[in-house]
Amino acid sequence: MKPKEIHILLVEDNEGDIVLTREALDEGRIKNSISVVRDGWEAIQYLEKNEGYEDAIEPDLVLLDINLPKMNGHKVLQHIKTHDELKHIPVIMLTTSSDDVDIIKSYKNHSNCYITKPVDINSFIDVISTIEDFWISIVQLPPKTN
Amino acid sequence: MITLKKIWRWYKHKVTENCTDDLVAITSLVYWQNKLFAASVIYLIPLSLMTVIPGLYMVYVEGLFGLFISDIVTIAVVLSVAFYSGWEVKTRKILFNGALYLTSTVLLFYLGSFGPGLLYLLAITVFVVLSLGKVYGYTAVGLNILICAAIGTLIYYDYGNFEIIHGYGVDTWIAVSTNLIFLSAVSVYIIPILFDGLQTAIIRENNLRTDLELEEAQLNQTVDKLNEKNQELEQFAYSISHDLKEPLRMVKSFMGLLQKKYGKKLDEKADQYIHFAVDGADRMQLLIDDLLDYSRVGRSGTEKVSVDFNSVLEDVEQNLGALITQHEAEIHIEHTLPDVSVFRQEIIRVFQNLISNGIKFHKPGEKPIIHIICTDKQTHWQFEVRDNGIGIPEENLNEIFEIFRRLHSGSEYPGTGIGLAITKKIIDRHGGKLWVESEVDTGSTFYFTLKK
Repeated sequence: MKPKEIHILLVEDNEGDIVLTREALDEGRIKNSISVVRDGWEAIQYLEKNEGYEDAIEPDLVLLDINLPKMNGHKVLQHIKTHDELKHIPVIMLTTSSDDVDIIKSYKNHSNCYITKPVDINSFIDVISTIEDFWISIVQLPPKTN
Repeated sequence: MITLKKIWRWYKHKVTENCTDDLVAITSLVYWQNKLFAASVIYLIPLSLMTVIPGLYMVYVEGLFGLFISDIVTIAVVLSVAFYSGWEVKTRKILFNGALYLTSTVLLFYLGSFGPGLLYLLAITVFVVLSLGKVYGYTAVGLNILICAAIGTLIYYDYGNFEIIHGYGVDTWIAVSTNLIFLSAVSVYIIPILFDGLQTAIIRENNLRTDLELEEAQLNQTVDKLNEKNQELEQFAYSISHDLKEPLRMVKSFMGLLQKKYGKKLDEKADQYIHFAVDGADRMQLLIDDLLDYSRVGRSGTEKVSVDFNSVLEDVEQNLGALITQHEAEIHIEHTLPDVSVFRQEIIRVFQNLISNGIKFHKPGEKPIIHIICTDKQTHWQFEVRDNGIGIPEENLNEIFEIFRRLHSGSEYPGTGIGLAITKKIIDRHGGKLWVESEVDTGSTFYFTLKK
């Protein structure tokens, strides 16, 4: 069995978090590639392969922040989970919010899981590598059609 | 019987309608003057009809035709005043009083002071003042003087053939009639004074009421504004603490990353600097989290539900498990606890804060023992959380519920000083009271009430 190479779409506007997430994913054992988009609207453009994103790679996993410019994470999640060609992609809410309202809303919109970003750097790295482990090594993701 | 009642009601309604003026405000004196006038007319008509019929028979038999005619005219006028709808109230009053004047003058002429004429004159004067006011009152007094003088003149010239002329000397008449004039003048003088006082009082009361209503409206407005400001402030605290988290996380994360990746390349001093930066960020993190907690009270849930407090305490003991084990604390619940309608999570928070404080502030070398006591106070439940800890000095008792208020240094007893502020906010939100009794070195008892 050849090792999986998976592609992650990170929807995040905070440069610091982008760096941190990249660092954490680099430390992981699994080979991966990341595309980063910095607002909700861009995320949709990417997923729909609209103008400017014709060559976008379909992600195996989406890491989605809630607090985003133009279009917030809830709206992006709703879009993904209500469109046939996108709804099979696992979406992980990765956000600073620990508000019950956000958590409930995310699961009602069929988010695959909800994670509050840990403040401590080591915990953050742990969480990211756990995500990697679980969603990439343990879980069987839907095979790509293209 | 019912029809009689109906007729009476119709009659009252009709007379009141004709003899009062809807446009006059209830607070003005005229309103009450009209009311009095209407009531007088209402009751005078049936009463006078009852007495006038035998009277008419008598004067007919005695041949006193002048009296007969004046009675008929008076009745006609009074009935018109009551039922004819084309006149103003003032006209009615003048006509009414004029008719009474006619009767009493004629009575006086025929019967002198043997009849009720003088008494009538006095009564009419009073009624004129009451229903028409001071100026008409003095006119009535003048009229009284004229009538008395006219009768006196008749007596002097021995004119006519009536009893009064023969029964009196001029001096007797003067003695009797001056009394009437004096009394009527006094009435006209005194009654308006009384009325003026009354009206001033009415106006003043009315002004007071208006002022009061205005003040109340302003007060309500202020309260509304205050509530709005308060909400804004809470929203502000919430967003600020929420937004502060993000940059703080960056500081912490990258400090951490710096240490993790380059720690080995730096010297001891740099390590120490990083340590202080991280520690500062950690403490700020705690403060922000607490502030966020504080501003979150009341944001969750809008409906209270009936909650079994025994299960609340079970949850609390479970949440505090580590702390309880660490300090070998004992928690005694005195009785079975009641069900109370509350926001469950918030009440868990209250017990958790109070109990953990009781454990945290224990006396060195002594096991913390906490008692939970519930008392039925009829309209509400009173809860006590009693500890055997270090106690609170009396001078600090008032400040402990303030936000971020700490009585001890962080190295002695860790914490940010938010717990009791949150507890107070929660109890306030439930409409209860929270207070403390404490003695240094003996322990503290926190009390709070919850409505049944």
